[in-house]
Amino acid sequence: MYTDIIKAFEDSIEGEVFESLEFNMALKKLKNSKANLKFLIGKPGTGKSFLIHHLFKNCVILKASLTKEELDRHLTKDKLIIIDEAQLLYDTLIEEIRILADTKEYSFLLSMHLKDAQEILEKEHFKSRDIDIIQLEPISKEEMIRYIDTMLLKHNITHILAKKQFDKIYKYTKGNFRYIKKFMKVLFELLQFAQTRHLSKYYDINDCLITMTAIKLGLENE
Amino acid sequence: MNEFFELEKKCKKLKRKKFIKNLFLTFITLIILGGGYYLFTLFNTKPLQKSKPIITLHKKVIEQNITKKIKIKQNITKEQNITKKIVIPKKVIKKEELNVTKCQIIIKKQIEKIPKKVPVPVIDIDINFSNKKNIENKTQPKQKKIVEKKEPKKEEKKVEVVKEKKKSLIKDETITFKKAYILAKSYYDSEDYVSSMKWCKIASKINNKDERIWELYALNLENTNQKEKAIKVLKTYLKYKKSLRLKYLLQRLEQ
Repeated sequence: MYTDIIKAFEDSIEGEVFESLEFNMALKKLKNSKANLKFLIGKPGTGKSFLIHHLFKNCVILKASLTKEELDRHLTKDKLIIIDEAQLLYDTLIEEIRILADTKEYSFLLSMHLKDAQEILEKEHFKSRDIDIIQLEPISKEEMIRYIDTMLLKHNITHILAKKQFDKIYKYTKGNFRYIKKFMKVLFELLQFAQTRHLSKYYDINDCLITMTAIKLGLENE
Repeated sequence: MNEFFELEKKCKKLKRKKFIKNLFLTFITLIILGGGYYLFTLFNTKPLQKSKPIITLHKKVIEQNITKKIKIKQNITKEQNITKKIVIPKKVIKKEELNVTKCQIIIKKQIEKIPKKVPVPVIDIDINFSNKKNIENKTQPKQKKIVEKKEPKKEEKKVEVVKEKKKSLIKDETITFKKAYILAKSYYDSEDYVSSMKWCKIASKINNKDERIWELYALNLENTNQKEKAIKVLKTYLKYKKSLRLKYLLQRLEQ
């Protein structure tokens, strides 16, 4: 019944693109910046990886587990070198990236968590240089409603959630894109189970189902 | 999929917990509000309790009521006395109406027109003490004389009252014109002309412009067979001040 929508809400980088306001703003900033070293920072689940994989086509995306040799192998002057989860990089590698960026022949984009980025950027050799920092904020409630509605409409599901229920979902997820996806996935899983068992109480999505999903995801204390 | 039912149970538990929480919170807020209101009322009423104005006010009201009641009683007794005294002169007046002069008839008519001021012509000395207007009334002495002459039994009572008044006034160290005049008049009424003249002199020392004291003094002199002196006294007064009453008295004495 709801298998398609459950799949749509699965947390994967290859999912459908949702161009939220935050996304567009961040993208504009990234494209306009002329600095050779850029930082894309934000809280976990704000959609950093999603943005990197979907919006940057002319680039080289590297994993944080890369070594110095791998980096040397992938170095290209024409393309933007993106390193996701850059907080996991060794300090020596970060230092080398900085030196390479200083030559102005290579341009890098380091995507990392907000807390770790703050620690790295506080270092003196980063302070003194030309660096562009783009921060991704959690999406607003309106954006979240828009995202869920568009996803549901794509699968011919309408008027399944009331405004109060949207409010509740936003209260639990706090605009975290990953959590929203997870929440919706679990919610539809539970709804599907209830309907296959012919539980009349859960014919539609109700408050109880929402709290149940919140408990399952650990967003609500028992 | 036992997980679903477990989650359902947990959800119900949570709901119960939330309900109890909300109840507890509302209960606490109600207590706080109630307590606050109680304290607020206490705080507002405390100064009133300390000063106790309500009780004092009550006391004052009670006292005022008592005094009013006493006053009313006194007035009633006075009125009763007055009515008693009024009855007699009316009869006297009826009998002697033929002998009364024209002036006296006019005065009587005027008095009869005013219902409450009827007792004025025959007012006792007691009333004269309490009422300023009665003292100033010019018709009093002549009518009193009539009353005194006709009823000798009541005179004795009056004399006793006068004596008591005299004693009380003499005991009082502060002598005013009013007191001196009253004493002089009371002595004159009790036919003690010598002591009346004494008090007339004392009163004139305090206020020599008052015609009543001069008149009384002249009448005293007349009664003690000192007509010439009385005429002199009246003339000296009339030199400085105009008084129709004293002029008529002078004319009468000169005749």
